[in-house]
Amino acid sequence: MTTESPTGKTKIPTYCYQCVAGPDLLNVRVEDGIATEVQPNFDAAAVTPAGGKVCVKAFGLIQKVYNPHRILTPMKRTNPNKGRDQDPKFVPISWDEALDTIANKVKQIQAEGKTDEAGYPKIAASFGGGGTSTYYMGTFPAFLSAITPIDMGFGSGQGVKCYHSEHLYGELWHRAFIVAPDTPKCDYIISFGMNIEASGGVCGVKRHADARDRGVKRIQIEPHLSQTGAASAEWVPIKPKTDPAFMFALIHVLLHEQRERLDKVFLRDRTGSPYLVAPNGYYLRDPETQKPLIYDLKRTQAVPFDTPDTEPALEGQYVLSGIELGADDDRWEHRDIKVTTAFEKLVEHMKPFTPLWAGRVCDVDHKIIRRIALEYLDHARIGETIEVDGRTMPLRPVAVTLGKTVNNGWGGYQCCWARTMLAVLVGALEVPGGTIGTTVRINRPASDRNDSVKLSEDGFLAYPMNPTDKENWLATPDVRNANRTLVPLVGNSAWSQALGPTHLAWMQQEKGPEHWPQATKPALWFVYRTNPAVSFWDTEQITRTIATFPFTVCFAYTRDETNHMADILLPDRTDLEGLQLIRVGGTKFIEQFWDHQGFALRQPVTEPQGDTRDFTWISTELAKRCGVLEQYNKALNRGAAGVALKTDYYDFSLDVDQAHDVETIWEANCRAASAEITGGKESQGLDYYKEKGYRLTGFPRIKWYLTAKMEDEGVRYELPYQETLKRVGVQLGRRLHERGISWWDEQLEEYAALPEMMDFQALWVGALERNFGINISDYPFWLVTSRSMQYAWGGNVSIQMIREVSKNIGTHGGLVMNTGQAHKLGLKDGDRVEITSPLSATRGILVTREGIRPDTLMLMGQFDHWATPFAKEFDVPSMNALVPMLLDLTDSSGSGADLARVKIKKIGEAKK
Amino acid sequence: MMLAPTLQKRWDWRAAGNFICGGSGSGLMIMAALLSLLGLHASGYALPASALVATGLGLVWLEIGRPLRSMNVFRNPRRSWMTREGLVATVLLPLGALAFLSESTPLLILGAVAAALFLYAQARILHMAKGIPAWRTDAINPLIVSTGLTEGMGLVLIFAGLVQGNVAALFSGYGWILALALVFLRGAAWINYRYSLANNAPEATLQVLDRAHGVIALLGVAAPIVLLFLGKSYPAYQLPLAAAAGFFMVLCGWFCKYQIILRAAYSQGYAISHTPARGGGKPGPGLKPGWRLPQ
Amino acid sequence: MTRYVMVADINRCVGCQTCTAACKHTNATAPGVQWRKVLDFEVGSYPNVRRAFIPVGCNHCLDAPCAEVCPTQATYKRPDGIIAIDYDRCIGCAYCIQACPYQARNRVDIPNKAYGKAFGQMKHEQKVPHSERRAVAQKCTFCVERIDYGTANGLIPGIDPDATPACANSCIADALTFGDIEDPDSNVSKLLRTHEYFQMHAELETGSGFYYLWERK
Repeated sequence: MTTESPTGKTKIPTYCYQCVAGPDLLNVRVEDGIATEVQPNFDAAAVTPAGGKVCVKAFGLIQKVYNPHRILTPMKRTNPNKGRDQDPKFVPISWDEALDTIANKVKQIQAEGKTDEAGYPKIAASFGGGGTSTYYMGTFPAFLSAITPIDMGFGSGQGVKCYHSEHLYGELWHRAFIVAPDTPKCDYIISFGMNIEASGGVCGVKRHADARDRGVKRIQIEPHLSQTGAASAEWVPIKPKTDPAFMFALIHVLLHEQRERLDKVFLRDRTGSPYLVAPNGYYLRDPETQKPLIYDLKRTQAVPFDTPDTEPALEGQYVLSGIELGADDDRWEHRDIKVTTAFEKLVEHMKPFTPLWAGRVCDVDHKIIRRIALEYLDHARIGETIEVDGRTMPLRPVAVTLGKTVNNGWGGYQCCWARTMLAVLVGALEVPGGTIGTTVRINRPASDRNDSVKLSEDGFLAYPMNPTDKENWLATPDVRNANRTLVPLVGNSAWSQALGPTHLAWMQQEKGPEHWPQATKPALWFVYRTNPAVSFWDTEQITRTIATFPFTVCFAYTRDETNHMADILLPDRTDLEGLQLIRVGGTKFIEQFWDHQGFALRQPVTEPQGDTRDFTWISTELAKRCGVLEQYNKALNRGAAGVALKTDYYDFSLDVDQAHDVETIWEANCRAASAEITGGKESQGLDYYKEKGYRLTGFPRIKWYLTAKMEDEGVRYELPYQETLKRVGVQLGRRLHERGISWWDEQLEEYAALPEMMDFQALWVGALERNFGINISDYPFWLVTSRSMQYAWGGNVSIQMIREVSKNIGTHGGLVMNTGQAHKLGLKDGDRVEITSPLSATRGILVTREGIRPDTLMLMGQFDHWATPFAKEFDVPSMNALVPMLLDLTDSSGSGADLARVKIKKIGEAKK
Repeated sequence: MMLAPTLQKRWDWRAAGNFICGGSGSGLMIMAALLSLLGLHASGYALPASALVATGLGLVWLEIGRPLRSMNVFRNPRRSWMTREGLVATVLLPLGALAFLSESTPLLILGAVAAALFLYAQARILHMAKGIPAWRTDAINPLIVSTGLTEGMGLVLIFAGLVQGNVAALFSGYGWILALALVFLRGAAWINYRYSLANNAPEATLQVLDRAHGVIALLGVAAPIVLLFLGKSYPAYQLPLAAAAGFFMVLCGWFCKYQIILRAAYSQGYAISHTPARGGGKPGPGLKPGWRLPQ
Repeated sequence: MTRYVMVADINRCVGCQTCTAACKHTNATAPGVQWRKVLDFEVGSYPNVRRAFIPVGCNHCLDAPCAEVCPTQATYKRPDGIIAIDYDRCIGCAYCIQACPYQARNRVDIPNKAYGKAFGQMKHEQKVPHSERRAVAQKCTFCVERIDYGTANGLIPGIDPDATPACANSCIADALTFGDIEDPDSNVSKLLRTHEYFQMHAELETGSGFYYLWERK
């Protein structure tokens, strides 16, 4: 008997990329043209690491389409006054009117000068979700590239809510915009606040479940018991922002108690450990070649690092001669001076950081710290190898991972360095089982991080640092967050603006620092899939600032807190209504390591609702009306939509003078994608992808690890010693001081060759006391946040089903406090409380839990909506209103951490 | 989200009304038959007894989701006490009516047999509701049966004055002893019921029962006993004293059922006997939220 | 003999609620009604605290208290162990709701309107209204129509997606496994042989068909 499958007759394949842990493939069941059900795409089970499945967020997409709160026609503001208290009085308008209004604005800007009196671009754009909005905006990047320059530096969370230090230092050290364990092979993971079970997406959750099943031991070190803590072998409740001390103590144990067991071969051959350090802190170099020197135990003399057939000394002091090259033109010639290896410097540097010391700092039993260090070492299996794609590689199944607030803001550098060093000491960096990097966003090419491995003159991974020398330093910032001026590490890729000190852009809108141009307002601001009025810090100020922007265009799904200030609302087609081809597979964010790579299509599964339009149609229309159609089409041909339409072996390029319809544009992209994958042999178009949903080819697993490339090219990791950073820091300091700028001095201190330990809690306390004139003892609690898997990145607060199922997680819904602590204060679960920080106050319901430190409070996710329909009824507070934007709390990478000091007061009894 | 037992909301006052009316009605029928055997004129009670039972069933009919399909209720006589309750009612109600009209004692006794089955069925309906610890205990059966009988007796006492000589007959014969015995019996059944739930029911259930205990002891046991003895001692006031005693006997029964069906009816809740070993970690203890002692 | 059961490996489960959502889609359940959901347990007191995520739903008991009490035989046990409901026979007396010690049953009397009365039904809610389920008992069916389709077409429930409940299909941690416990070679039998497990409220002797794996043997 064969009847129709109860899973449905019509299933349309598409993808979900609502969060950075994607993309994942799925099917949508359609009945008579109406989408009724999201399902896994089991056709892709064998070729995707997530088994063709999607997480809970994707299931919100059907309500997303049919949500009665959607904006379904373009709107314009009729109340010229902007502000939270102002009714924007939006009225429906035609697409013609909306697009012409925008085009006229663009044309006016192009005619009058693209940059303003301060040198900043007049057009700005903010996009949400760690770049994921790109996977929903069709050809809009091509349009933007046709109207450059654009200031992308107004962040909506970037810098303050991302793995910021990890992004920058990760790329510097091992091409790791994000760092992950090689979970499929890892046996022991120390996770400092990395909430992978909530943020790792389908791939992360599946891999860690598999790992647990085979007995991985994961230690979760975090102030509260997150989902990841729940799923870990052990939870160590640590004081907020004291992770650097814990990690330094782990290194101390390895270096001062277990040095003989370390992976000395790796340290000697793959790192800068044997490089000799001269008295001023720079490498001792060969006077002739200027190459850093090592001490060769075979020849018993110093030789340039790349001399063949050497046995470099890891430890020891030597009396040698050579030159030392410092910042700018600083140069010292040394004769018979005492030098030591970088490794020896490290050993010395880490001496004070005993487990006993760290235990006091972190409020953790020192025995636990030592035990974890030893377990880590025991599990590292130093000396063992494994074969990957026919190549013998080290197997080091241990990893350390970092979460937000650990790997951003002050202390982020220390943590990222210590984490990478923990891998380095046991040879577990970029090898099977160990700590590995994912995609690159600062280095190039972005498509394959292996190809970004280039040898620097000093034998390390070359890095595209922004110049800090006198001639080339960008003294006048070209965007409002001054990313290239202040943060050399941020590079100059398409992502670099978003990786700058994004809160600087917002802060300056009220008051710029000394000797710095007062920031101008963008004449035209595009906003898509982001809501900085809720998702950034000091949301009151952000909201005020947004209200002062003269002309804001928001692509709008529903009304929200940011588009409350918009002048034009443009309703684009949502996830299940639009058409777009994207690149999938290879190695991407978080744990998206695939054995395949290729392309996937997002396609309309149902009739679009109302008068919404495909993003590509909007982009093409704007290009046409702005008179930049040719540039737009050229950008498409270059690959602005994801695939170059013309290469040496195929040509599907579009006629540059003509406006092409949506299907034509994606047909060309699909054909180019097929050709790219098959080396030009095949050229299936849109119909193929509409039916199959994706097209993949193999991705060799050896590319998950940089090791092969590093060995083949003879490249070393610039660890443990940071000579480059030290030099860059000194040079940047000189440049700033030459301009009279001293407000970045604290940040400059962070450029140390070996990271200095600090009392990071005291740093927060001091900054708050200084800036707000408060007594910190009046604010006795640390307030932290935690990821909501159901909501994060999704822009789905107005989806009823997401709200419903997320409530099953006990920590949603209010201010989480330790049960015993609440009892002491006469509070109970369900009480209504006011939470006050030195900056501001908010209100919500108290949720008591055992799994949180008594000195710490936690607010999950980012809510506090006041304009977004449905969500504004939640009555769930957010820490964003409470966290100030302070220069003092900005680290040298330009990032801050989600951390506040608060007090609470009961304002109402729990409802019975 | 609640892991601990939550109060059932699906059966409201209408369902409670069935247990209240059905228990009192069937109890009344049984008592009427018993008293008629003792020589009282009691067949008149058959009508209000049937009416009470019918009212209770009517209330249930108002509560069910698909009242038009209500005849399906008779489809599981093999296993369901609700079906059996319904089937017995189809015998009980006409017998009651006929006994009233014909003033026939044999019919009244037949009606009482049906009423006894009906009352037992009601007890078993609660007993078989495995999801509600306050109901599923074996001790619910004697409690529901004894309170039904006590309520029936109470109604007899309240309305005894309507038939000339019945009040005096109650106090001169075994009637008042029967009433006393029922009050004691129900008191014992209540204590037995509470005892059966100690450490065996959700915390919230026990709290409700603790609070109810005083009311039941005072109004349901002490008050009727005192009033009945007073009645025995002061024949001049027998009528009001009997009615007052009956009133408390009925009131306490209704209160008791209201408490058990609507206030103490917490669900089982959720429980785990182990927390898992996570990866290379060790397993841990379980938890039964909302329960006083681990079971 | 065949008896279908669900096995939840609570070492694997992270409480993401993907199964909850998938079930809501597949069965178009009403707002607030979750035939499958995952509970968030916290055990112990600070700092010795554990947190576990426990998927729950109908246990498809061997001695199902719900079927026992149902006056209409609308709730019945199928030969394959699945406790099913004949919606057309059910009178909505809710007795089964009181009889279930797993709080797995619901009765919903109004059409699905996720955004409330003011907004009416969305298109997909109109498309799959399931009016047969209105005002009668409802609960997890183990996606029984998939099981029936699968067995009729030579598919293996628990293995082939078209013959497997939506929750198990969707589970991103592969924590939920569905299969025939009477078949010693089935996926669930193998898991139960290699793991320590418990059933919820075992003391009530319902013969629950929902097994929780808590440690590898």
